[in-house]
Amino acid sequence: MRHEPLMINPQRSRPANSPQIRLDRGVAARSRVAVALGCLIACACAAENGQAGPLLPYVPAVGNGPACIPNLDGHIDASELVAAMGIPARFRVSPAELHVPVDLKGFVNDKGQQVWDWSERSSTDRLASFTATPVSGRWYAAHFAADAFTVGLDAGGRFDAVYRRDVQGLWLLGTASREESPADGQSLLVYQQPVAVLRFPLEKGRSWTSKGKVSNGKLYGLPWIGEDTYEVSVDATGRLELPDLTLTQTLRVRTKLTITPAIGPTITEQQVSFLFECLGEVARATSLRNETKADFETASELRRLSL
Amino acid sequence: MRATTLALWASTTLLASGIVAPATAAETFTQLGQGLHDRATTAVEVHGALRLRGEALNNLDLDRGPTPSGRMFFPVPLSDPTAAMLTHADMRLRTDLSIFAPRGGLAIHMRLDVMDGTGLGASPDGAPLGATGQAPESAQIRLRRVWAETVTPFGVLAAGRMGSHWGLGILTHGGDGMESDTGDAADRIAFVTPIAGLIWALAYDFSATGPQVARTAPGRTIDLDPRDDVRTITFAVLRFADETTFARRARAGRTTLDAGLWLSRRTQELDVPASWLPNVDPSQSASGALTSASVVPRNFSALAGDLWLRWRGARFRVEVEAAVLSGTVEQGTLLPGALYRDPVESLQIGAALQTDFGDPKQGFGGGLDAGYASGDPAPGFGAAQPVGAGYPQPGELDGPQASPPADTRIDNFRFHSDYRVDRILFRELLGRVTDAIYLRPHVHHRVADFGAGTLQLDLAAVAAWAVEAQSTPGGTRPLGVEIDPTIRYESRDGFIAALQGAWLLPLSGLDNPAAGLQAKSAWLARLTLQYTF
Repeated sequence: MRHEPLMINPQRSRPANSPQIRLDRGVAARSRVAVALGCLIACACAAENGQAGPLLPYVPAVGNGPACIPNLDGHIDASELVAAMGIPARFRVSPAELHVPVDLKGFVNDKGQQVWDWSERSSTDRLASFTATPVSGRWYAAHFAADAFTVGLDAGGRFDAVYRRDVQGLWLLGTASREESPADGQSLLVYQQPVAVLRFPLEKGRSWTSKGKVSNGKLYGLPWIGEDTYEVSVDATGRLELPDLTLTQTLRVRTKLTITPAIGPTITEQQVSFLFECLGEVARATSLRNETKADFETASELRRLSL
Repeated sequence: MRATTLALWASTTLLASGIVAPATAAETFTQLGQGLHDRATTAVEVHGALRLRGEALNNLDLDRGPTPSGRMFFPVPLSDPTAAMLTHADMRLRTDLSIFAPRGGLAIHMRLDVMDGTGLGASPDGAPLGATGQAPESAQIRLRRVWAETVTPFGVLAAGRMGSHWGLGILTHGGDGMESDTGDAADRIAFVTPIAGLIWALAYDFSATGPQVARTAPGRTIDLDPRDDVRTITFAVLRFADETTFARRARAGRTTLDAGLWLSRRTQELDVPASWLPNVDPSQSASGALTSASVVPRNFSALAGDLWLRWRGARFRVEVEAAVLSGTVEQGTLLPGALYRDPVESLQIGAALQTDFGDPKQGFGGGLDAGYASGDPAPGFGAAQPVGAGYPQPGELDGPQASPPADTRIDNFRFHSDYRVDRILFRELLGRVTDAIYLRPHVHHRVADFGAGTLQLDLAAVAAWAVEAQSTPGGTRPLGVEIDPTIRYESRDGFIAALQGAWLLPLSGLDNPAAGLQAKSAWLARLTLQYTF
């Protein structure tokens, strides 16, 4: 990662409730598809302790260890990407009000290995926690399959993404506001057909396009109709340096999201994610709105796995 | 509460089990070679003991509510969690078998534990109500030790799986006593020789050899990689007087000083976590499925030093052991390809003192025991640091003591769990002494000598404090005061009956400030019957 000054996000100067901001939020709410994978790291994390509460059955202090061990075979199978329910994963997230520089090209080291160095510890980073939980019990549960699960979509925890996972892939079923009646209005966007955000086995060279239509959605309390197009490609593998970890063999996944609302301009946004066997998504850069460069150099958000 | 990766689990586990309890000392090196003397024929000696133990334990959860993770300090009755009383009974037959070859130059030893810790009535042969007996498969046999020793022109050479004990046993403990439940055994080659009035010992332990696969030759396996082996080398030198010598000196009014220095180094270059992690998919952990990608760098090294002194005479014994352990895990990960940036390091210090004063034959005596086990400021004591356990929140009783990258140290010294200083706090609630200071004054009185046996009363009081206040559930250092009385009958033909009591008065370190609950007192009664042969 380059050591460049952080930039102020110009979009923050817009009126908070302007139509454009609402549209932007809608884009944001649906474009951060890969964050759900962040929950997958929990499958390899220690069990979290809950809060003090009523008596629970006595459990000896015996850990289980990870169920999944990376085999570093260059591709990620369904068995290597399993969400661990209820266990949070932590990420360093760049502040919402800042745009940050990002190096998506990386370099080739003396061993001939592609390397992305995202190890810089920025004092402006914030800590965000994402936890996969079964959809049951959520206010929007009736709109999705019973075996779906949900993960926070945005670092602020205002939106949830709803997924299903099978041996074929990870499917995005829709998004919803976490609260049923938030102050800025309820959101519920259910795709008519699930969107394939990941297809297994995930390996370099694989690409696909998946579309999701929303015909009767609601965004910030307003009706929403539109179509989202996800163009996904796994285009590289290499070593990723993070502030707390080094991942020796990650897959780089590019996702270009095109949002075509029934009314209004089309919006695009790009995401570049890095996935690691058994841990899931370990880092991600999100482009500025309508970014045209695949290797964009400024990110509206940068997320990196933190311990 | 932070999510903790597997790498942390590796670090904590390795440092907890690898540095804290290297288990590398030879079985009291002084015992090697004993029994090797000229014999006309092959001789077989069998020793052992049948131990039965029954307990009543009252309020060991201290009525202080759960920790932040919802755990109680101790199990509570299933039908009524607010009730206080639990009971238990178990048994163990321990058999030590020795076979001595003619001419006395060679011996083979074996330790078999039968129904070790098996709960009485825990295996009914059918529905509990209609059980007519206990299922025979519950009668497990554990082969704990098999080793051989022989006299060479240069000293005694021993090899095999043998007990491991040093000094008082705070670091490595053979578990030979009536109260012991575990004990260390090491796969070891040891050489012991007397030079210049001292005993010199050198031992090599096959501490862990990693995954193995079958060879073409039937019945054989091969270690898949020598670089993943955990190797332990131990050197010890002792000045030691056996009991006969001590008795002779005591009769002459002389005191006897025994002393020993023990140094041990343990290393591991690489590791294959998939081969030993408990929860891994069998298709991944099978040796045939392992590849070079399964290997992670470890670069673990630990150095342990232990000094033991014992000064005793006819009317007193003063015995002390002090240990220092230092270690580094350069790479603590359990996940191949996911590497930590920082090593996990450890510096642990522990010491124990035992004293006894008074003539055993006159019937009254006493002393003061004490101990120190260094602490780690992480929440929880770190008595057990199992793989997969999460980094504890403040208010927890136990848990891993490191959480890289924020916390890369594990500095709590853990006494061996068979080194017992009390009956509730350390033994039952924590499992061992760690991150603590204790004082233990004690007295004993031989009440009666029946000719066939003796009856003795013992009384001990244990006051304990934590070294690190942050480690305690209550956030303060005082842990508790425990009173431990005992009535013990011991016959000359090997029968022992001991009725033990314990009353723990917990102090603020065990309180539950988050819930506003004070820890309340607990007690237990334990009857042990041992038939020794």
